[in-house]
Amino acid sequence: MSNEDVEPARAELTIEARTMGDRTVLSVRGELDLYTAPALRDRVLVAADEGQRRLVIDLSGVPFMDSSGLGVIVACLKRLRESGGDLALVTAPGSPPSKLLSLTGLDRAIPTSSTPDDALR
Amino acid sequence: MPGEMTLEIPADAAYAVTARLFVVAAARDLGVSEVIAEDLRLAASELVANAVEAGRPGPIRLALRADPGTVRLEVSGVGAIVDASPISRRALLESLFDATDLAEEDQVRISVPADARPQA
Repeated sequence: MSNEDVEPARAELTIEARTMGDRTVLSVRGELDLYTAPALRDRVLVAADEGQRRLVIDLSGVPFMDSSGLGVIVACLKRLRESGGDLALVTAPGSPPSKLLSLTGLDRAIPTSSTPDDALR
Repeated sequence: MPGEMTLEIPADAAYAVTARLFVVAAARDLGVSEVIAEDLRLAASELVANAVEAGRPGPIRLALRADPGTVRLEVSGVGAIVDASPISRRALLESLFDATDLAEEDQVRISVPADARPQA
């Protein structure tokens, strides 16, 4: 690979919201890093401002996440709990987000399941 | 040159994905297993983020070098490792790799095992 004028690869994040019972499920697709994680934070803050305080963030469509993604998730968790809400995560077992949550111990601090249906129970 | 691959990118969060793609492809070519290549991908992303958060001017230089049985990732221009809240980036990197040198001010070196026969 050349050292000259490398163009950034496209990093896209899409977030789809749907309501399941009394929860809002945000399905995230794309890689979560320093560049893309702010879009997730903004979307969660919009939901919280609209009064949706019981959120599920579905990371099963996220093939990569770093500590910037984790930082946003923890910030969202704090924000939601402060306003009487809560946050649960969905991760594909063995996926990079699942491994990072486990490695950092955050899977013990945030309810994490492998399907949205389980997260709603 | 076979056995060594380098990439230079700006200290810009938008290039973290470029760094990740490069590191995974180069690590595979140099005989690193998929599981370890995935860990190197995370390290690359963390180090680009660190350079941005530490306010480094760039460029960030990533190099993978193959020695018999070992591949070394060297990343310079990253600044001192920032302990990003809530995760200690230093602890994360040290937990991923046995041989991590985070001591130098602006450069990180990570050594990982690789097959004896690099494909590059």
